[in-house]
Amino acid sequence: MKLEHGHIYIKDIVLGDKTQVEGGVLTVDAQALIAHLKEDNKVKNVKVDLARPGEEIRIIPVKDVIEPRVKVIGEGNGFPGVTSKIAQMGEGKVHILSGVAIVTIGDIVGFQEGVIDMWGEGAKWTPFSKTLNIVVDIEPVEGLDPHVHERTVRFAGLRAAEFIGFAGKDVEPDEVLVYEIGTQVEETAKYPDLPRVAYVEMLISQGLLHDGYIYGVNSQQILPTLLHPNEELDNAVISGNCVAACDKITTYQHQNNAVILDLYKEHGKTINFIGVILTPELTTLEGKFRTCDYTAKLCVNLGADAVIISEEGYGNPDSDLVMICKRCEQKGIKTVLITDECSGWDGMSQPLTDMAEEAVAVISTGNVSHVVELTAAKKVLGVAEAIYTLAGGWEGCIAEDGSMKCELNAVIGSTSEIGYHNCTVELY
Amino acid sequence: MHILLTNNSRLAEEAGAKMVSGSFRDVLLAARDYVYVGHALITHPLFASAGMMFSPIRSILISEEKTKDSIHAEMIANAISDYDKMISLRGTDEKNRKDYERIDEELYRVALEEHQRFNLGG
Repeated sequence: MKLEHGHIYIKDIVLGDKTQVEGGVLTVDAQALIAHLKEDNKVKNVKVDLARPGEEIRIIPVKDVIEPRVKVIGEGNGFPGVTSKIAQMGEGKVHILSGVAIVTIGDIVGFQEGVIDMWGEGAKWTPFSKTLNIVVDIEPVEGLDPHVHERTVRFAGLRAAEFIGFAGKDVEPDEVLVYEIGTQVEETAKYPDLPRVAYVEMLISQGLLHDGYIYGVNSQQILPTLLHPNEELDNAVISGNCVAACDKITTYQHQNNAVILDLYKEHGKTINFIGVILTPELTTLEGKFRTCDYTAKLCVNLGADAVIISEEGYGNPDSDLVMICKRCEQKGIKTVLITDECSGWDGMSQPLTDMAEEAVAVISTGNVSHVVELTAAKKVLGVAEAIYTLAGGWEGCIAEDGSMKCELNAVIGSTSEIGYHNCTVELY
Repeated sequence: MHILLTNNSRLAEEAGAKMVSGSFRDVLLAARDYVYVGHALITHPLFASAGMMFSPIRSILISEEKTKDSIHAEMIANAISDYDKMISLRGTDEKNRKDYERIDEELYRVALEEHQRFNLGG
């Protein structure tokens, strides 16, 4: 498969009468976007705001973040199986409004977390403080079942990304990056001596607000499945998860999966990247045993010498992570795990709920319990009261000047378990 | 058949429900007591995100039948220790209790369906 990402680097976003890109500036016709989203009769009201890096704006509670794109060559514009008819993704050419993100907000349940601060201390912890954000606040009609409410907001975000992405259709990209990997037979013939490396990406697959979708199929319903890496880089995987703010994989992060991009860089040099296995994180133990056995079997059948495994979430998925590791290692496949830690405020507690002696190469993407101090915002987009949820049960976390303390838990993408975030490691 | 240990009043009428009076932690302790005499965990004791640790509500499915597999005892012990670590500083979020009840019910129904779909009919 060959996929081209044509990056149109956007320097600024403004509101105007026509949605277009000119001289690196994206103009957004907010009224047209709102009218487009309100074509869904479940959407009652939509508010559109802009949030730029450095502005004293807090966005909360964030549901999803999506990159606006348009397919210019090949089939499958948008999100096939979700917002458009099904198509084989991973081939052709996409124009990307690079540096821009659609951020959807709106509370489905009262305890939703997910904050993006565009300035100050909070901005350091989320990658989405660096994007030019088109913030879409979606209010559905009254009386919707929570599932329909969630789906309405999810679809509205994806449709907004399609709408805005279309502005890049006839714009010459500033840079074109090519992603091409052939069949297993072809690549192995080219690189017979390189180690064969697969990527296992785990997805929370447990019910309302805890789901991921592949070509529109809820990952709860699948056995682990093999994708060409280009499919994920081409809108085949989307997020339906909005409770694990720090380590949920937003749709934007799927579209730009950092593990896939890094493995691509090494393909043909140090490794032979043989594919992506998407693995559901189920709730039942039998379900977990089945998916972990099945994942290891896929790795064996692919002839993998090594596997990178990334987790989504914290708690019961730790067991899946460790079980996949154990099963692969016992079959002679080397593993590297990517996960965040829940190590307490001082960082000294046991980081995961499960462990195994086979897990000898583990990359930590940060401590979700680390406490950060957020100063008072000049402007809040979303539900200002949600700030108090971040403080749930935590006495004295809000100071008189409006500044507050919160755990990284609450900050979108702060401890991304696919490494699409700002934390790094310092040797000392 | 299964046993549903829960402090979620929305599930009081469910098949196999045994209401636990108390907190999320009390549900974990009730599950531990069953597991330590040989019952198996059908669902993992913890949710899938750190945020849900602050829920005051939890439902756990365990088997009526007994097992000799030690993984269940290890898992419930780890879950309790992890829960204690998470909750010790921040406390539960009582303000959104009703929403947690709703989500816990949704997640329970998915788990039950998963259990029944892949096993012996629950």
